[in-house]
Amino acid sequence: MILFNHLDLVCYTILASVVSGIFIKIYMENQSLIKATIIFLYLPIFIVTYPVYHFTQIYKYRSDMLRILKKAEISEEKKRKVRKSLSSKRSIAFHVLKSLVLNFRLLLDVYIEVSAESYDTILGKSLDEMKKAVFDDTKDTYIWAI
Amino acid sequence: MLYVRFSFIILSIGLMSSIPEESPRLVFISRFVFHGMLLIDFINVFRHNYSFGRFMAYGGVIVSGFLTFIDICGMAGLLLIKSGKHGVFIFTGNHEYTVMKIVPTITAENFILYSSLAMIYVCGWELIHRVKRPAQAVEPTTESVT
Repeated sequence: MILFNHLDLVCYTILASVVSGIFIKIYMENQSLIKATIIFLYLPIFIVTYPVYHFTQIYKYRSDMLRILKKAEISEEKKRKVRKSLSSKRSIAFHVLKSLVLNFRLLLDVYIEVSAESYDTILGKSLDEMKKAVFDDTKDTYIWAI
Repeated sequence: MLYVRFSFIILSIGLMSSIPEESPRLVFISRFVFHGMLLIDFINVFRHNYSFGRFMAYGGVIVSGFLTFIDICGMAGLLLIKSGKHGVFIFTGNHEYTVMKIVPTITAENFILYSSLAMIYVCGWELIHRVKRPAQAVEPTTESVT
């Protein structure tokens, strides 16, 4: 049992392999170091904000979801499971965290695609072009305000 | 299933890491079976994946292939694990063959620990990327696999 005497080293290697693997994956899909580092450094923001957004959306539309669930044509056991997961704040939070862990690979793919697009439109440009792009996006709201 | 597979890999590597005192040569035989199986698996991954999946397969083939080579040498009697001073097991070449004097002598605990950590490092890359295997019957495309 040599490996189980060094379980701390096992945890460190799993962490290192996941972090380095994410960086290598982003680099291999974009083929430029600056772009890859910027996308990699914005990843923690995504990991924190995604479950919070998911939680607020479910909590907001909980009553609507329960109303739809009554009419839905699924088995009673499945209905009971969904109703149980929507019963309290703690169970919704558990459901959200579970979905984050189980669908992490899929979410990472989506994040890399979306962030690469947004880098090309806004972040990759110089400061003046960036200001112009932001102004173009928010131009209509300013006109409405005036 | 992904996390079940990964935890089984860690558990089986941990169970293999104990050295039987009467016949330490059994370490090479049990590790040869496991590493050879992983080598075949990584070759399958190499044939059906592109971009990061192929990079992962390169790493896996190099690490598991090197370890199977060492295990075959141990099974043939070119490498030895024997008890040294104070009951500590050491990993050496068989000095009856002159070529095997090149192999450095290290403690068997260090050899088993670091080789298994290298295997876990490569297997951990599967946590962040979805790889395709031929049993899933997916047509390989030249575009990057999402």
